[in-house]
Amino acid sequence: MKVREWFEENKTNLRLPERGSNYRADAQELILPFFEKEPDWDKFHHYFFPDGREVYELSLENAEKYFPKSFIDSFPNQDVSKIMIQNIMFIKNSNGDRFDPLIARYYPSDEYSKNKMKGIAYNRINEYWSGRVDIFTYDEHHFVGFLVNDGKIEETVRYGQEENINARTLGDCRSVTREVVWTSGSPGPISEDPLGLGVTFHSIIIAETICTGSMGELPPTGTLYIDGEYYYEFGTGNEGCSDCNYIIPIISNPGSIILNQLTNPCASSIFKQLMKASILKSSIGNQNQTNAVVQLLQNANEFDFIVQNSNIASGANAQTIPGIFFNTQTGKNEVTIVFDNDYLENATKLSIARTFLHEAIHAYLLYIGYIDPAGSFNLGLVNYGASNGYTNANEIHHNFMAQYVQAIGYSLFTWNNYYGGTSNIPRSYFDEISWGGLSAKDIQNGQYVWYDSFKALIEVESERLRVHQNITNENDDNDQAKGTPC
Amino acid sequence: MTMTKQKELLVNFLFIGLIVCGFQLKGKNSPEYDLINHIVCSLDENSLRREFMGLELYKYNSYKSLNPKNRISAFKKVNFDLDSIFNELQREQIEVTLSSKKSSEIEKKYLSRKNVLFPQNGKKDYVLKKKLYTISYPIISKGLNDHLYGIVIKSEVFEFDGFTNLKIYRKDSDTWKLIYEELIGMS
Repeated sequence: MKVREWFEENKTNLRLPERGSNYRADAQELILPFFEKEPDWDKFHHYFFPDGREVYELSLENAEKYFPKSFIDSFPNQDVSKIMIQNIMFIKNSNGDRFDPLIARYYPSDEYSKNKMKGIAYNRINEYWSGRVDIFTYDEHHFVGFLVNDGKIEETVRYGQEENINARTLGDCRSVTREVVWTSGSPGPISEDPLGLGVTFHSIIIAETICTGSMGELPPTGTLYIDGEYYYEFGTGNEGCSDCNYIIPIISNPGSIILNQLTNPCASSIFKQLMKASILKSSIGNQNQTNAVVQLLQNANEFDFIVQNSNIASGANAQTIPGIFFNTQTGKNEVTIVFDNDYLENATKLSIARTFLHEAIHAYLLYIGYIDPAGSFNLGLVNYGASNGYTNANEIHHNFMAQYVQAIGYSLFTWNNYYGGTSNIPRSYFDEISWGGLSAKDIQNGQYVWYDSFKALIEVESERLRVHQNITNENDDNDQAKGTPC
Repeated sequence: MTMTKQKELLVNFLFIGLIVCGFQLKGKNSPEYDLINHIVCSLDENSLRREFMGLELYKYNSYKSLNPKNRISAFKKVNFDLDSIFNELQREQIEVTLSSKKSSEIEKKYLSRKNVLFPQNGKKDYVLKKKLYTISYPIISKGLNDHLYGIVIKSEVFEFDGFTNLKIYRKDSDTWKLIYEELIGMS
């Protein structure tokens, strides 16, 4: 990899030049000890900033880590060093002859976001992720921080006093003092190891200026301050300096992955609720059971699953598109799930949640088929179809999916408990409507033709008809439906 | 590309356009409705949606994206290559067809079986115990050995279950023969 060769050749020179004798003397600035950088070259994110500059982002292993104190407080009695993610970004210079590295540190602020840390990168903050992103220069000067709520940048943080921030942010800014902590890998005295993690904690109180909004491109045109100290002018066309081996690159704002592209507000909120509910633990039954269906997709980090709505084929509730689209901006493959506008207008929330989970399983099976076609799971699926004489992939999926019915039912039950707003629905009802899309496939001589798995697992015809009718009730939001209108 | 080559391409392009337009005159005898009528002859009464379905949903917005060879899919068994059928000029023509405005609805008067259309009632567009179909407006082009080829998307839905296929037909003598089919949507 070219970036690796460049880094090995230049890593010892990547320091900001000293700027005055008292540069490091200001008590308000934060300059961390210089941590040795050991990028993990095996896995990397490759993407582009909006202006076309290429970025490689890699995991960065450090024996020593830096945390805002509030982050430690958010996860009491947990080893926060295992929760945060620390990456190094190599931003290709416009001249094409070097890379300008920055350090990105990601700190989740809640349990959901903690579960979405895998695969996080500067251009792909999960849309429901909340926490803080801190960007440091390569030699550990704090550059900028972002406070993110549900994937949106709500505030931008710079270390130092307000007067050192660019004038255009004044008026929307506030100054705070806060504690930051960093750890060294070797055990210290008990007083410096309050959590008993076998590491030494160092603590410092710093001043921060927090401004509303994203501040736009960083650094903006004008004077750039690092840790509250003048660094150099940006936007003059003469950035950099003769003695600089390392130039802080201009960066765009962190980018979110917008998987939820639903324009129907009700459906959009159900999608969000299912995402959030996916990490909830059951309050009854198996304490450790999570919402397995949505978890399937959340763990499939190599792909993005996009959810949209449109006018699709007559009668269809939703479709999952097996054609995998490679998004050159994110560098990820995408699988798309499309809901029908007419269906979203007419179905209950429960039906829509059910349909999402159904399509999510299609998407997951497609993902497995693509990512590991010769793996035992996919071969098992193929053999299952062949041994049962199914030639149509839709039929294979729908018969195979019967084994997920209870997982769908459980996910629906959990979702309804937290968000559905409908009480007094028997637990079994959620399992029954989970057969939606897996029950009838045709009609002949006025009689339903059932999917084999449905027929095998629900042996009595009158029961099949009753279950199928329940699915229809929710689909149409008729008088018999137990769910509420969307 | 040289100026001479560009001019040559333009002239050929216009020529092919004229030829295509020559047999693309609107009406029952157009190759598009010839293919539509071939498809609907096997459908039940009151089962075909009047509106054509768009190609955008499946990201078929260029010849390249339409070519099955360039699509990644977990199901594709055959790496079918449209380039083996269409030459450069024909590909250009398909590109133009894809970007041009197409009919939004089936013209009932051009159908050989007029009772095949599904009478939509109100905003609900499905009925229980009935299989419903939706098709795209066909893309027609001459191709290999001067055969006529047709590309169409067809969706088949029964209540809450359904799927959509990309279908490629070739006209042999007087009939359309299905030469490629690929699952592109599952419900």
